[in-house]
Amino acid sequence: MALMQISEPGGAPTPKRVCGIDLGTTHSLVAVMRDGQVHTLPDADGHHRLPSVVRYTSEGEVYVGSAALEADGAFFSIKRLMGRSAAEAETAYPVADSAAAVPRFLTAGEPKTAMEISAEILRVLADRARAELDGDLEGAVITVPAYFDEAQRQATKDAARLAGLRVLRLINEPTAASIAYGLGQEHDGELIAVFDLGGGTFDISILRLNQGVFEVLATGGDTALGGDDFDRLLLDWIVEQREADTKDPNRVREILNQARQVREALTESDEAVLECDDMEPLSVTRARLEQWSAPLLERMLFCCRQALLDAGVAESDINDVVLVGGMTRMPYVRREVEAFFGRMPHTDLNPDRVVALGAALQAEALSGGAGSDLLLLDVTPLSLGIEIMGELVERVIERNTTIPAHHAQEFTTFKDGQTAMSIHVVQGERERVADCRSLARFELRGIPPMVAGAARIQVDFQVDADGLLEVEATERTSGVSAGISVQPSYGLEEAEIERMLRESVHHAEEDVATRALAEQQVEADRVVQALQDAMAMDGDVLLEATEREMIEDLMQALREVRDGADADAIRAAIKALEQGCEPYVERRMNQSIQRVMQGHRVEEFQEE
Amino acid sequence: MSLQLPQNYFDLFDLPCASSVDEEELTRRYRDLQRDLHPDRYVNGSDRERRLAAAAAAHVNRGYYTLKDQYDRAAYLLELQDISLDDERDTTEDMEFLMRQMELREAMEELSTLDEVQNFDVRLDEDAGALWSEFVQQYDSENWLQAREALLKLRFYRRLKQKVQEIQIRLPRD
Repeated sequence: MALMQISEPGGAPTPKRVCGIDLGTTHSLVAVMRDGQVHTLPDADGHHRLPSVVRYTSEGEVYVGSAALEADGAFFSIKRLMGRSAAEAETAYPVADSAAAVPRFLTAGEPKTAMEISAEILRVLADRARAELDGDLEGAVITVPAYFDEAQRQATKDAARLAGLRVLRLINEPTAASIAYGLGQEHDGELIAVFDLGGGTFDISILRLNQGVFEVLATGGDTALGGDDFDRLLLDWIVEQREADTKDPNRVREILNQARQVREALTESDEAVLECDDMEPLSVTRARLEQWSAPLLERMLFCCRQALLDAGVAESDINDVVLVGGMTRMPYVRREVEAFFGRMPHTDLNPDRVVALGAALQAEALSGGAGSDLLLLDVTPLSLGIEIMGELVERVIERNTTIPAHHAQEFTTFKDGQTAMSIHVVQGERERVADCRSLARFELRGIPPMVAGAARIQVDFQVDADGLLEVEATERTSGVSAGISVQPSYGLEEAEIERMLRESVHHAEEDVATRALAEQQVEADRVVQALQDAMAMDGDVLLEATEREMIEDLMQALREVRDGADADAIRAAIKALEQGCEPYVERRMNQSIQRVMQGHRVEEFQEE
Repeated sequence: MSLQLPQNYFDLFDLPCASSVDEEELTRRYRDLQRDLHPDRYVNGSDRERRLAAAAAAHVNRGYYTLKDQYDRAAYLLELQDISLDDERDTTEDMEFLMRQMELREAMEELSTLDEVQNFDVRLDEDAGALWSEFVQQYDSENWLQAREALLKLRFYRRLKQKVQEIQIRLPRD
């Protein structure tokens, strides 16, 4: 049954239309399950990897992937700019207004945010999945680098919303990879290190696996370290050797392109020749490239040591090492990783696809399909805290805390008669506010006037399973409270998302109202189905006849508006139904708590 | 929110309230609880249901890590006796002990090789081990304030160990 993710006795589980998406810096992929196996999906030409490149034309057309590369003005590596401020984003592409909270990049058409550009990539992948699954997508698991901060995660979720995708869960790329390898089946307590080096980011995660439970012990990495940095090393050398003009961005891009090819060629051979138009060919050996990249490798191994330390395990405790990301094909990287952990890494799955495959497996598990026993226990990659006197940070949740998490801390007023307090939420490991990322600010007002230090202000931090944060502040003696769902400082406001959805080229083609209606209908069906399943299982036990009648009435009311044309009416009916069910939902939750407290797993109950 | 989840972490994990815990049993219970209460089990449920699940899972996480860590568990045991331990304000007044801490701090600053770090770490573990025994003895005899004193001292070692580890990962490798 849907609410508990257990199929009804005797009933065959309905196939779920879900997919896993690896939204990468340089390439993106989508995977779905078919005949009990996960597969990545190719485009019409048989290419599985969609280059993460987007170009807009002055006529308002959008090109994604290889087609975007056919003319100038395309956006590359947009993932690096997700959740970033205008000041940070400006260094990559010109922005329309450098004072705007959310940077919009100039395009041949309308200026676009990083979220909108990413949404274009997601749309192409979602369409691929729809075609394969023969219908509407019910949801997707999207992967993000483990080291992504709050703002970057929220931006990814916003992009998905703009693309019309329901996000079942954001999961970390390294976790997805270890799911894909199906590790942890053999013995309990296996420790796994996932070394993920992509085009733009580096992640290291240490996981412990036990009977389908994936516990992330620690995660670390560098969001600005990847294949691009290796290419830059080659670029610098080429520029120096050939005194190339670095002022011309097209020229630089051309040389970088060549550099990438040479770097890839050096994976197979000991020497490669770099050929760029109107330039003398240059020969590079693998040994030289390795010599230049030594500092990059040292940075990665440092992250590995930090992650092991945070996990409280030693190199020699690691049972399996998994490599992810195209860059791990580089022999130098493989050698260094093998030497560091003292064991051969797993390489049997394609490192480009392994993340998408794992995401698809997780999507299936979440939607109650195959592998529902799988459970991911992820961690927050960075510490979360608030600003205190002296522009210092007081940490409330430490990095590598298992999520969901709820921690509270008490603060007090600084001045006599202080009636308001400004709460500044930050993320990062440094002690000074200026060195951390600012996530949000809000004010707690209406504190009763008291002498300094007498007020007791409790600040509650709650991080959900996607790693997204909610903060609430309450003055304990009076009960005054204020709170926010943290919308990162460089994130989109709800109203902005709605406007973008309306403006979006794709939605202009269809009727916005029709789409909203369809979405609400799908949601209504989902809610009704879940509730019916739940009541079939325990409605007789947990509901009084009058309560049941009330719920049936609300359900009937929803059914009646469901086939009408009023999306708002459906939304309201769903809300009414959900509210009416709240006591029932609580009882069910408490029932499952009781079962597990008595040592009976719910599954065992069902299977007997 | 009215979740009928035991607030006491020892009850939550069905373990005796004591200074040492059966870590295997704790972990087994933790996984069982998360398998049924984690919000991922309620992806298709209502918003309310997912929030309840998240609250339950957060409580279980907090409890697990509190009981798993020796120091946190000890502080929690004292908390159950209404003995608090403020991270910022409270400290020991044992001058001899504080002098020893200063010596250790100075010795730590001098560490420059992995071998030195390892030897230093062994020293820390010896001291901390003795303090832990002291805590257990005082706790078991219900001498709460003496137990608290042992724990305040133990906190120095906990912080020192963290510093040493930070030094260790920055040292050059061969």
